[in-house]
Amino acid sequence: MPERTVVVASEVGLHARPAALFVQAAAAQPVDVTIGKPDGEPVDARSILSVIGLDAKGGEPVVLRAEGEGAEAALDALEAVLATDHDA
Amino acid sequence: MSDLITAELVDLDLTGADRHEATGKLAALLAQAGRVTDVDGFLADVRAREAQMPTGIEGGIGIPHARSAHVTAPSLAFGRSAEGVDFGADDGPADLVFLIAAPAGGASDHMTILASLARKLIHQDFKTALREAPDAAAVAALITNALG
Repeated sequence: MPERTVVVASEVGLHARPAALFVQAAAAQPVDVTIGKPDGEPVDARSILSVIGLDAKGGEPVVLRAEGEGAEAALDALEAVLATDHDA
Repeated sequence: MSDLITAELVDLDLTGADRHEATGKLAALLAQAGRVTDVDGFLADVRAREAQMPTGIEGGIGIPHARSAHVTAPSLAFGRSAEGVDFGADDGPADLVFLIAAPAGGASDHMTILASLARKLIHQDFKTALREAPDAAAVAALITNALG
C-alpha cells in the first residue's frame, strides 16, 4: 500500500484549524486515506475525532496510507497540507 | 487530571437558542466554581477559537474550547441537551457539549484534554453512557474515568 511519512509542520500540531483543514482535504480525495503515528494504529483521515485523537504534535512524524486509483496523488495532496504551517 | 470535572460543572438540562448561549451557560458554571475569573473575556477567547475551527463534530457533539488568561485551572464543563444545540456540524445539532478551558500558560494542556476526549468519543458506548447517566455525579465520574 502506498504510504508517506510526513512531519506535521503546524506548531500547534494536528489540532484546531490544521486538523480541520486536513480532514477536509482527506474527505475530498477519491480514495480512502488513513493517518497514524509511526508506531500506532492508523485511523480514518476523514474523521475529525480520530485525527484530533491522534494528538500529533508539531514536528512529529505521521504516516499516511492510501490504496487504489489515485492513491499517490491523494498522498501528494495531503502531504502538502500537513507540510504547511497553518499557524503562520 | 482527576479534578478536571466535578458534578457542579455538569448541566444535564442544557438549553440555548444557539451555541453561544449554551457555551455561556457552561462558562457560568466554571465561573461559579472559581475556575474562570471573567466569563465575558473567556467567551471571547472561545469565539476566537471557533472562528478557526468549527467546534461541532459528527455524532451530536460540540466541543467549544479555549486556552485563556481568564482560566485558573484546566477544566471541563459538560452539558446534555435534550433539544440539541446547533454547533455547526453537518449532521445536525449537538446533544453532548463539552467546554474545555485551560489557563493561558498551560502549553498544550487543552490539546491533550481534547485529544483524550476525542479518542473516547469515537466509541459509541461512551456516548451512550453519557446520554443515559442518571445524574451529574455519574456523568462527572464517567468523564473522569475516561480521561484518567
